[in-house]
This record gives sequence, C-alpha cells and structure tokens, in this order.
Amino acid sequence: MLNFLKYLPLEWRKRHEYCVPKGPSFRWAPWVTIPIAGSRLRLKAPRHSPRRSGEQWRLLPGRDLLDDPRLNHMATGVMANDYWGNAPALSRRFAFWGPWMSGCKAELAMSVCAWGRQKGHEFADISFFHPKAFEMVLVQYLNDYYGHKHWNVHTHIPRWHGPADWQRHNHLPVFAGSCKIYSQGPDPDITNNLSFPEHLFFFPITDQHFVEITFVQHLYSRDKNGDIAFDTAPIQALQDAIVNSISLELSPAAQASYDRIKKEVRNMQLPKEFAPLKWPIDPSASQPPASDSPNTATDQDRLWKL
Amino acid sequence: MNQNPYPAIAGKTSGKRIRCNPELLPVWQRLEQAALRGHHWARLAVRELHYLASGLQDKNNVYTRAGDRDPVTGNTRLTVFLPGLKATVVRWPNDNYCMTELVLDGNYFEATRDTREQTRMGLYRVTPSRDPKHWPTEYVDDGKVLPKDSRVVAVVDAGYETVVDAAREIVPRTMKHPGVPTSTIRQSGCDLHFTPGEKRLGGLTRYNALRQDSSRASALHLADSMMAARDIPGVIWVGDQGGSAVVTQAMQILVDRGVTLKGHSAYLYKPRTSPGDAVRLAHRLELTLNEAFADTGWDIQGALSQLSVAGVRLDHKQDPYNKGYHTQAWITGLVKAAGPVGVVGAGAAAIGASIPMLSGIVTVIGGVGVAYALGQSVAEDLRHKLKR
Repeated sequence: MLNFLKYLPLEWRKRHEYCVPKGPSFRWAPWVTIPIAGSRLRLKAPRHSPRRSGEQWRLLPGRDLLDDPRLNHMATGVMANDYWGNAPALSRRFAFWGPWMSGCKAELAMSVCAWGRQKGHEFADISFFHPKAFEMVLVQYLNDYYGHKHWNVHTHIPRWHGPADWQRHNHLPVFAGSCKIYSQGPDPDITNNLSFPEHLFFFPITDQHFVEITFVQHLYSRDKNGDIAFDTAPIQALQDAIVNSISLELSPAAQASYDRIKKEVRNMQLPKEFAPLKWPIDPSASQPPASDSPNTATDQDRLWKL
Repeated sequence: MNQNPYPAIAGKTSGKRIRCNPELLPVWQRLEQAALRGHHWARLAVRELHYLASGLQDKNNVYTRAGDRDPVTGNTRLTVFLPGLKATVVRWPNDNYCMTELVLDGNYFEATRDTREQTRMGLYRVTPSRDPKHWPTEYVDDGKVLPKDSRVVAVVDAGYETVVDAAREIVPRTMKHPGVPTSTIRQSGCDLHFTPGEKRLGGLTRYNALRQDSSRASALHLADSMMAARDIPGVIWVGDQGGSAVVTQAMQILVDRGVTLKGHSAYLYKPRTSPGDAVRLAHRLELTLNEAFADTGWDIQGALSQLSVAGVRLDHKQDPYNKGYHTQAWITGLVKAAGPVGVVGAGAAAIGASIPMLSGIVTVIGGVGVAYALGQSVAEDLRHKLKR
C-alpha cells in the first residue's frame, strides 16, 4: 500500500537525483495471447500504462493476425524499398515513476509485429524455418529497415549501428535470436557515439513470415552533466521478464514445415556470432534474390561460409 | 603603433566594429572553427553576429534585448541570444561595440550527446514506423524542410524531455487540424521543430511573444528553416501551444529581414501567446490564412485577442475572414457545448461573460447576420433537445 502511494503516477516536482523508479507490476500482469496463422504466441505483459495518455494497439479478440494475408505497406522513406509488409499485433508503453511524485523517469515501449514480403517480391523456394535462409532474411530486413539511413548524402555516416550483442535463444519450439541496434551520432571522430539501442527479438512463425518483438527504453531523467540520473535496472528487469515469458505453440501446418526442414538440416540453430553489418548500404543493393542461391551479396556469401 | 588590446571579431571592413574581451578570444575562435568544420548552426551564429555588425542598434530585435546600462561606465548593454550561445555586448562612446560576455554551450556545437539523445534544438523529420503508435524522429543537420508540396512543420512547446516524447503527443493531434492533410502525414510523416527546456513557453502572464527570452534562439533556427523553405509550395507551419511563441518570434525576424512566405500557411493550436500579434505578422509575410487561424478553445484571453484583431483582418483584402465568422464560431461552440437554453446563460456566466454582453460584442463586429446566428444556434440546440 505504501508503495502505491510512494510511486504515484503523477509529476509534481521534477527531481533529477538518484532514485530507483518503479514501473507496472509484472507479478500481477495478465497474459496476452496472439494467434498468428494458427500458431499461438503467449506472453505476460503488464497493462498499457503510458506516461501521457495514448492508446495501445492491440489485436481484437477472436481474430488471427494473418487472417487477411495482405500486409501493411510501410510509409515512404521508412524502408529502402517497398518489398516488405508488416502486421502489427501489439504496442504498449510502460512508464516508470520516481518516488513521491518526482516525475516519470523512463518509459519502456514494446511492440510485436509480424513481417513478410509483399506479393510479387517473395523469396522464392525458401522457408523461413531453415536457419540459413532465416539468417539471410534477417540480414536483408535489417539492411532494408536500418541500413539505408544515413546522416548526409556526402559524408555517408550511418544513422544506425548493428546488430550488436547477438544471442540465440532456445526456449521456443523454433530457433530465435535477439540483438541490439544502436543509434549512431553524426560525428565519427567522437568515440562512443552510440546510444539509444533498440532491442529486437526475432523468430520465424510460418514459411513466409517472422515475428519481431521490439523494446525501446526511453530514459527521461538526466542530471546537469547529461548522464542518466537514476537506476535503470527495473526497466531492464521488466524487459527481460517479458522476453522470458514468451511461449509459442505452433500450428500443425507450421510444425509439419519445421519437422520437414529438420529432417534435412540436423543443426537447427542460428549462428553463434553475428557481426555488425556494414552500413549505410546503397539502397539499390537490396534486391530480392531470385532463388536461395548464395550469389547475390557479399553478406550472404559470408553467412553461407559459416 | 599601439595595437588595440581588444581584438575585433566582426565588422572589420564595414559596419560597426564589434570587439571582444581578450580572454573571450579563444572561445570565439572555437566558434569560428566549428563553423569552418561545417556545423550548420555554428555558421549561423557567426553569420548572425556579422549581420549584427551592419545593423546594430539599441532597440529590440527579436534575438537581441537592449538591457540596462552598465553600472560602472554607463554604457548601454545588449544581450544577444543565438543558438547555443548567449553574448553580452556593450556599446562604447566611440560607437564601437565590445563583447564582454560569451557563454557557449559546448555540447551544442559538438553535436554529440544532444543529437543522440534527441534533445537538440532544431528541425526533425518525423516518420511513421512499424508500430502504429510510435513516431520516430531524425535530426536534420542543415535544418532544411523536406521539399515536398504542402509539407507540415509542427513547432512544439518547450517542456518535453525528448523529441520522441513530443512527437508522440503532437503528431496525432496535428493530423486533425483544419487545412492539414491527414493522409499525407500518415503516409510520409511531417517535420517538427523542437525547443528544449524545462518550462513551457508563454502563458497567461507572458502573453507577449516578442518578450520571451527562452525561445529567441529557437526562433532564429526556425526563421532560418522558414527562409530556406520559401520556395517549397504550400508549407503549413503549425504552432502547438507554447510553440506559438517561437512561430511569432520567427515571423517577426522574417518581417525585419523583408522576407515573405507567399503561398505558405500557418495555424496555432491553443496558443499560449497572443494570436492577434501573430495574425498581424502573418499578413505582412503574405501567408495564406484560413478563416480559423487559431484554435483558442475556451480561453477568454485568446478569444478577445482574436476579436481585437478582427478589424485588421476585415481590412486586409487577401484574408478570407469575413464579418462575424470568429464570433459566430466561438458562440456556436459555447452554445453547443452548454446544452439547452437555460444552461447557455450559466455556461456563459461561468466564463465571465453574460448573454447581453455576448450579443453586445456580436453587434460591434458584424451586423444583423451574426445576431441571427446566435439565435439560430440556440434554437437549433433546443430543437435537438425536444426531439428526444
């Protein structure tokens, strides 16, 4: 009870001193079930509690995310080309409040969506359940979403750096990987000009779609020198707890596809290491390969050699 | 020959000479170095200081404030607000000027931390993202608006911690303003001008935009972006709440420079500074205005400010504002929200104006037409109630 009063979600007097903020309780969080093409993705996430009023995005109950096979197009300039489409499933924000109305210290933004290729631009003859094929798809996706953005046409300094801290996860019935993409500043002479990482978590869900869960930590309270003025452990703890609570139940069709590929490829694991990609890329370099032959880009060559 | 111990930094060949204290010279040289390295805003600051040399006077400019007199020598002091720097310039009796104080924001010119952490002053591109409720922002190094027809530039209030925070609140709201192309924003985003700071701009007691100090540097940024965007057709400049202070000051800078923004348009949402002043400047900049220039909501001060400038708008040939428009909109809104006839009086009284006073205002502005509108909206509302 005292905690509830101590960490009221109000901002009355902003303080930028060290404190340990408190966010929504994970213990009492409800479970969210998202049906995607017959498979069921389940995770435990607190209710939407943003700092300022704003709606969450959610899938209406009783609907499957991929009921309508058409995927949303991205707005112009967001991706390097128009070959990708997505279906957003969930989007929530959790605010972390300081003690005694000293302001909102941070917000954790979570978003779950499914990605696939648009009609006419599919990767022919491959299944996303094949680990090597999935790697190639990931490289293509990261290049198209993050890799093409740069600060200046002349200096070609990329806006993003990644993937970093690649880890593979084995607690799902399919292989899964997570990484961080850092935002890069415009001045290359300054060391350590990376910040604002986006935490991504990927796994395939059908032969032609994969699920991406994104976490972004927005940190608001800084002291006079510009350093973070509070303990960020609770935010990371909530993020880790949500990731660990993810469970997946494949549909019979998806399971059959997965087993079929497992018979051919014994080692159904993503690679242990995934070095940062060379960015910015030239947007014309991200053409969809005609088949899964590893001839079209140097990144793909590197992957196949692993 | 004795060399003057105060080195000249501007106006060496023409205009008034600006000197500086010797201990400030390294700071000034650092600024010039940043400008040479290509930092857009350092170049802007150096250019503005040279510009001041040609037109320096003791009166108020938007980004200079003529202050008190120096207590020791009795010389007049001028405070100059530029992006990332604040300078105090003293006028000597021989009509030379000397910079006695220069405070430089090192972080600002090195453009590292603030840019990465999304708190830097300036122009950002806002784009839609994979998450339909999230609007990621990207800093634009040279402050140039995207050269697309009818581009919307939202000028936001200070008081937000980061640009992303501001964008998340502002963009869905901006999409709904009259005259703003909603689907275009959903498809290609918009631009956003950000002013960092802890406190919001403007307010009840700080209603005169041209007196706000905390937004002068930001207004200079915005004026620079506006000038560069002159040739883009149909740009819409939207001031959100305290952003009206920045927009008004930027418009004043452009008027002082003799620039016009023909074909552009402006709109103020819940302005925290006087919209009346903004309308006068908008006319001088030859902006194309809608009838509704500012949504002042229920704010009496705002409504009166708009009413006060109604005469000016009527006289202006290009302004589509017609008699009684504003009063009609305000009163209709008041009546519709308040409900049946009996409550109208109570609603109006709650705001402090009684019905006879309202009709008095109405007859001052327009003729019979508006009074009819008043009666109409009341009757319309009553009919609606009786139908149930």
